Amino acid sequence: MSDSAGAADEPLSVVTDGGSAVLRLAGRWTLETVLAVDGTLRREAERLEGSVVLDAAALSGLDSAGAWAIQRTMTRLTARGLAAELRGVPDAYRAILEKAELTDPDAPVAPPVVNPILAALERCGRAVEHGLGVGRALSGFLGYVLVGLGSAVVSPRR
Amino acid sequence: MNALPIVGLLCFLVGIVLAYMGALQLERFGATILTVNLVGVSVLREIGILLAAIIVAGRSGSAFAAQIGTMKVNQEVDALETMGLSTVDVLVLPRVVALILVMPALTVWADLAGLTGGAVVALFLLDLSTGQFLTQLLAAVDVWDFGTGLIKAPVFALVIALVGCYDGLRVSGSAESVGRYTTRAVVESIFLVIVLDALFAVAFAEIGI
Repeated sequence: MSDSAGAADEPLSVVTDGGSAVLRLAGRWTLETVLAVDGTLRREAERLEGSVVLDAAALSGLDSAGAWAIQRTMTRLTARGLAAELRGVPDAYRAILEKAELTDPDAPVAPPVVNPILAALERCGRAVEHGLGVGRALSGFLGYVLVGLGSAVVSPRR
Repeated sequence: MNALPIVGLLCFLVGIVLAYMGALQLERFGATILTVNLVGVSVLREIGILLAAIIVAGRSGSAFAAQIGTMKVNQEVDALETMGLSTVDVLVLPRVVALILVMPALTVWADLAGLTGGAVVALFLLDLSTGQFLTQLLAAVDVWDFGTGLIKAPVFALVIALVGCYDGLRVSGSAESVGRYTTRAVVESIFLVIVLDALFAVAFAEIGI
């Protein structure tokens, strides 16, 4: 290993291992830690080239903020066309990493542009559909009440 | 009973407005006496029952939804069902039957108030005597003008009570839900009352009453 960008006990250090860059994650990756290293992590995700390995073997703690930062870095590296690999994740942290992946949906950049006439027509249609639904439900309720009324008339002392 | 003052006052005022505006227009044709016909027919056929139904929807329909909705939130409805009591029998039927029985009486009261408003305008603006007003009124309206309002009353009452109870039973979760469904009950029942009134008007015209 060579070209170390941080000490081995630092939460984040960058080393080169053969042709790959290795981002070494160590210690507790919780909200406080992530806030401290987030800027560096983002910069490294933009700077590195070639294949990148995130080595999580030295993790001793992970919360949702840390998991999200790791998943975001993986997503960013992959989006840049790099070969990114996450390795050495302790079994105890695999579940939270998978959750972070699931709860990171692509947010729309801007609300879709809708023709105002079509939007008004759509609202009108939805209102009519809602009205029909209410009418159908009320018809069912009327029948239910009439059955109750009939039963009360036939046997008032039940 | 609590609805009588507000129904009476509103119908009285609408009767005054109707007669006053009608008199202003009919005066141009020298037919101010027909103001009595205008007030008589419109109040008995439409205005009386419609105003009474709208006020009842706003007062009683909302009260039904809020009462039953609050019971839902407090899990009293669940308790009733746990005791083997039917929700419809205990909560819905009494309200529906009561409103169906009361609505025709309220309609008669609304008709009287509206006609009184028209009579006030006739007496003080058109210089008619009470006897002339009554004679003209009896000549202008027939029993079906009065009857159409009474036919519509129980139907409107059924709709208002059903919508109020139905929306009350749809409440779930929180006090915010009670408010939302109470508002919805009022809007839906007034909308349905007016739609039904239009259908009644067409139906009565088709069968000639």
